[in-house]
This record gives sequence, C-alpha cells and structure tokens, in this order.
Amino acid sequence: MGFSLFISDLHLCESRPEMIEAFVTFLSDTATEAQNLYILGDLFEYWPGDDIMSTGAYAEVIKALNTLGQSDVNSFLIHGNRDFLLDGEFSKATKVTILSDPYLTTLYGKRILMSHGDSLCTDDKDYLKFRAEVRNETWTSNFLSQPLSSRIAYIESIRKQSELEKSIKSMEIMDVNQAAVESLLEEYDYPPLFIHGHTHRPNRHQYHIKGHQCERFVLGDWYEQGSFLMLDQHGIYEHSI
Amino acid sequence: MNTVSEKKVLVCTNFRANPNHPSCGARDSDKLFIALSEELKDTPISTEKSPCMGLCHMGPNVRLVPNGKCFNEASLEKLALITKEIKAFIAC
Repeated sequence: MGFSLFISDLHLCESRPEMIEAFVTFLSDTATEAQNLYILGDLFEYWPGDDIMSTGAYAEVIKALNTLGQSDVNSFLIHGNRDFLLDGEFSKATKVTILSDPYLTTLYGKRILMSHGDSLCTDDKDYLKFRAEVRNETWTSNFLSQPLSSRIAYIESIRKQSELEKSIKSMEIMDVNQAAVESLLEEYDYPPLFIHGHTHRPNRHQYHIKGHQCERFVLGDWYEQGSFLMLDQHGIYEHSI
Repeated sequence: MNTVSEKKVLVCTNFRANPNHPSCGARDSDKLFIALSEELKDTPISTEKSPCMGLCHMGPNVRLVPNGKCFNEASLEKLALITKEIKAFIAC
C-alpha cells in the first residue's frame, strides 16, 4: 500500500545551502518511494511571488520538485506564514498541488487533518492581526504589483521586526492554543490524526474529547537537521535525516 | 490497547536496481528476514517482508508495528540485539 511523507518548516533560503542540498537529496531519494508527499508550510524562508522561482537557489528546489513530479509521487503543499504567496506558476512548474488550510483527507483508511498550524496560535493577537491584513486579495494584488526587489526589501524589513518581536514574546503565546486545537478537531468531527508544523516544537499529543481519541503530531523544522514523518497502514514513524 | 496478535516485525526487502540509490534488498535484507523469522518462530509475533519504508539510505530497516522502534542498518551481526528488543516489544 506504500507510504506518505509529511514535512514542514524547511525555511529554505540561499544562506543555508546545506539544507537545500539535504532537501534535494530527500526529494531524489526517500521521496521517490512514497505515494504522497505533503509539505505543510514554510518550505521557503520567504516567498515574494512566483517570479522569484528562476533565481538563485530557488531554481534548484523547483527543478528537484519538478523531477519528483514527473514520477508517480503525488506532491501537495499547504501554505505557511512565510510562503503564503506560493501560487499557480509555482504549482505549474513543480507539479505540486496547493491545498487549502486546513485540509482533511483519508489515507490508509484513516481520516487525517493537516494544517500549517499558525492559525491555531490564537494567543498571538498581533500575529493574527497581521495575518488577516496580508491574507486577502487586495493586499496580495497590491504587493505583487511592486517590483521584485521592492517586495524582497519589504519582506526583509518585516522579518527583522518579527525576529525582534519574537525575542520578547513568551513561548506560550507563540504555541498553539489548546482551545483552538480542540475547536478545530470538533469542526472536522474528530479526525484520529492531526498533523501540523509552524511551532518548531516536534511532539506527539494525545486528546480525549467527548469520547473521541485524536493524536496531534507537530512536525520538526529543518534548521539543525531535517526530519520527516512517515505514515502507512501500520501507523506513523518519525525520522530525522 | 493493542493485542499481541496485531504486533508485527516488518523487514524491508525492497530492491532498487539503480546503484546510485541504495536499498535494503540490495543489502541482503532477505537473509536477515529468514534469520529473524527463524529466531522468532516460537513467539506470538509475525515477521513479514515489507515494501519500502522510505529510509533506504539507512537500510536494511526492520520496523516494529504498531508504534514500535525502527532498526536502521540492521544486519546478521546485530541479530541477537534486535531479537532481544523484539521480545521486549512483544512483552510490553
């Protein structure tokens, strides 16, 4: 029956060529044996628009995704807070299908809910306000109408501000809110498995809600080392690269 | 709660012909499967050949399911240690 792979928070960028190399190797080796590859957000450190695809290190990643796309492996992506502008041209070039967030599917007879996870950090009011501002068609259209260099400069300024804010925010604020998680699980009729990233706090959480048993897996990031989660008919297995 | 009968030892025997792509099958995991089957024949756990586990570069791979350990770079030399851990998995 094969297996499916889940990854998130790679934050690929030119300043970390070793992780780009690790990801390209992952795509050309491990991923080629999978049925499905799910990238649950923040594949890139930032994405100013699909017109950046052909530049620098991005081109190498696009090429590797495209090569995987030529095989029988189905690749899917959910937007992250860093790369929510990934769009149709990226999808066309890589054969990666962009999914809505959250996304519910059934694999190996089990209902599985996936998300990037940032929308669950409801205690971080400032972030949610910013998220609402930039995740609409008007903002996107205005932003993408600017030259690429201007967009990159804007993102760099936002990133600096974000890093400064993160240094003074409490860890609890930047984690998911338990009530938000439970509300989402209820909304999707308690899927037995919920997988997300974003918080960079890989873990496995058990929930017993109203007679339902759910597991929440938080994927690890690709800063110190890469990691992936494998799901097959026998269950789940976590692995570091 | 999982019953003993649901527990399995999966030995990846996937073979990839491309020499640039390592695989468990190309690293004699068939021999490991035979040896493990023999070692575990009197236990309640079943030993099965498995398709690829996605860990080819670390093979041969032996995985205990459900929710058990995965032994990477398994070999006949490590058979005694792996068998010991499998027996502990059966008992837990």
